[in-house]
Amino acid sequence: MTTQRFRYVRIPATASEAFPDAAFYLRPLIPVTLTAGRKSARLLALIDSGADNTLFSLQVAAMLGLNLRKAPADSFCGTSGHEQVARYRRLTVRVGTVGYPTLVGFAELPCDVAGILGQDGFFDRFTVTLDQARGLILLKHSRPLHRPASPSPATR
Amino acid sequence: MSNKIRTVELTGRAGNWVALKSDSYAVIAEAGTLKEAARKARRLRARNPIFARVPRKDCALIL
Repeated sequence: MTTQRFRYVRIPATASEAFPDAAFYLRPLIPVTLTAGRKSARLLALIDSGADNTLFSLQVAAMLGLNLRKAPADSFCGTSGHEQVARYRRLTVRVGTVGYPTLVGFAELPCDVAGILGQDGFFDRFTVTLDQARGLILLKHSRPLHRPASPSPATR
Repeated sequence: MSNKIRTVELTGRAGNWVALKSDSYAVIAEAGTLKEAARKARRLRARNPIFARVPRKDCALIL
């Protein structure tokens, strides 16, 4: 199986009392494409191993023409402890050369990122290596653990 | 893939959505909403832009 390589993204930072020499943040942001029907959106999303699910901004849902009113909901909490609700739709997510259907949540995200790639919907699909020292993100496609890759003998 | 770490120049764009060139990540359009940033990028005939949101505050992310 091939390994896809991405680069960390450097975001200019402002020096602070604690980090007086800070010039930039290195963030594991990678381009992903979400597709719903005929509409798609290409977005820079943050790889976040601490996130249980994969979430994108509500504005992305609007761009894809998704009506979320009847979409199933689930709550989530950030580090602030503030509880929010995300509404989920099954979409096709493409990361480089790999595309797969998965549940993607939409919510008003904390910290104003376009999207967060979490355990469900991203880490269950890839073996992820974050090599910050070399500025490299390596993704090796793997099959999700919670779904059988092929029909069981009884259903063949 | 480029061997260089790409810098996204976000200074002065706080809270906005930006459309980035797919190869260099240079900002080609920006607006207060994703829809408007996409419209501006389309008007510029940008090929396959990548959209990103600029945090309102230039601070570390702890999600």
